[in-house]
Amino acid sequence: MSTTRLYGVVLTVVTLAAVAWPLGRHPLAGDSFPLSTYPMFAQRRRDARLYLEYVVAVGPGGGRRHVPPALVASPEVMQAITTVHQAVARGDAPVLCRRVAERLARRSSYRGFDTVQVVAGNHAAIAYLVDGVHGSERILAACPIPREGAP
Amino acid sequence: MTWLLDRWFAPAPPERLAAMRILVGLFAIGLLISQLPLWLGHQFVHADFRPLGVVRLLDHPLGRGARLALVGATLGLAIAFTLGVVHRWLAPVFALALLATLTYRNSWGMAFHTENLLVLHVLVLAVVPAAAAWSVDARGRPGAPPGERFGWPLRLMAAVTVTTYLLAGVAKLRLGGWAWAHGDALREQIAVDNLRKHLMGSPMSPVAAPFLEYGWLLQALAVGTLVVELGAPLALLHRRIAAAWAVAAWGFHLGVLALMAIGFPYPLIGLAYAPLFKCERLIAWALRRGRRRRDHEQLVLGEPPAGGAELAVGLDGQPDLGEARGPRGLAAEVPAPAHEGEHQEPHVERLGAQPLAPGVGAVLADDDDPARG
Repeated sequence: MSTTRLYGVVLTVVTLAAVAWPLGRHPLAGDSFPLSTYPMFAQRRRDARLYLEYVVAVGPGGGRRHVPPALVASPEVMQAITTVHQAVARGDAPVLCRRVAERLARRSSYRGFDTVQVVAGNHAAIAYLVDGVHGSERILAACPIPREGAP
Repeated sequence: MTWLLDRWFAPAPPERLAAMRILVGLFAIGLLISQLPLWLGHQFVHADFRPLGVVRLLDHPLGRGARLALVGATLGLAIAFTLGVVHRWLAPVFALALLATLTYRNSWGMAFHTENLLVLHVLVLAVVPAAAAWSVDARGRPGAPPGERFGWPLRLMAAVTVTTYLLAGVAKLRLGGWAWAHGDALREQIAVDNLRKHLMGSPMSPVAAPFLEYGWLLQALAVGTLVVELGAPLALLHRRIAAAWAVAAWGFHLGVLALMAIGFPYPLIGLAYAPLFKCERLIAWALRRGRRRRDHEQLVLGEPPAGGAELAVGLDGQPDLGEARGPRGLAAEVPAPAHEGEHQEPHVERLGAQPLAPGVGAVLADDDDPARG
């Protein structure tokens, strides 16, 4: 076998063995980067039930706007979700709330809102999206959006 | 066994591997630039650090300076990789830097699956002669003839691609069983993912909610997804299967984008499937266009255009296509030798007339691939 072929065979075997290696691991627990089990979309979510902590801006009249991930933690939705969840788990929901409120204070598009809330929601996703039926919510932290000149 | 080895090591033109280097390199540059706001910002909260892969070597997250140095160096190395500068030594360094950079980015509580294949393809390209053509390294050298050392890396990249799809299919069966094909799991995933985006103040798919009411369509999509993923290795067997599979897999990602607003840019622009195709034709087309524009500008300025036989061909490196090759490896309209009485047309014109494959603007590598018919 020529050197080219020997090198090619070795690299092929090593590479494919490495890429296929996650087959021997649990699809969720064994996920990593760049060798992945690719578990996305694989898991069943019974009744499409979603428990999630998120951040909303609330206006004086009760109007709400869900605060986008870039203003909460990261432009990536999933990374922002992780940040919010971990903050709540550490008991830092009020800290997160104040941090987001400070960011919103600098945004003219949030002038009509005066409060930030960190909320834990429990929704049935299909009912929510198809029929508009919202589940339950619990406020974990609330804080005012600081405005210049406000007392 | 010999038959398999001969198929695996069937020769390919150096331009095909070089085209992959350029396309993948450009993608990496674009990705790193698009992620710069993330690296420059303050989104890496220490408490969220969940190291994966090689980043497990770190006890603590990097400081801002080290983080920016890492991404800056990776970007510089990506440019060198794309241009083919000292490929033998710099390309492996780039591959490791990209691995470290993107692993670090994925080490904050959420492993994305959009960059895995890019890293795996770069790791392969870094240790093979991907700069033997269309590179700074190749300038002034006579063009390399087609050889087996340029073919198997492309087949390996294609094999890596299909293996990742197979893994995704296996994960669905292991977590959901064959019941995954009923479509309920997919329906739940689409609903949960879109609601999650909505609650997080991010745009959700405008078509997801009405789509959720069509169970039969979801079942068809679920079955199609499993067929694409579990059947992926078949793409290595025959060129027509490869073409059909690439279109189906690309359609799957288009569906994910439409229904979940999740973009997998690497497959969506066709790079994941490019190793299955004569992807050098895209670069050759771009070079030809660039040269025509330059010639046109020179004509307008009253200067004689460069070109003709001075700039040698070598668009796909296929000797039977009658190309000439020169020191710069650029495209030119040098006619292919024709038999007496045959119509003779410029080689590059024939290439330009080829149909474009989805996403990559290339045609199937049917002359020297194991995927050939």
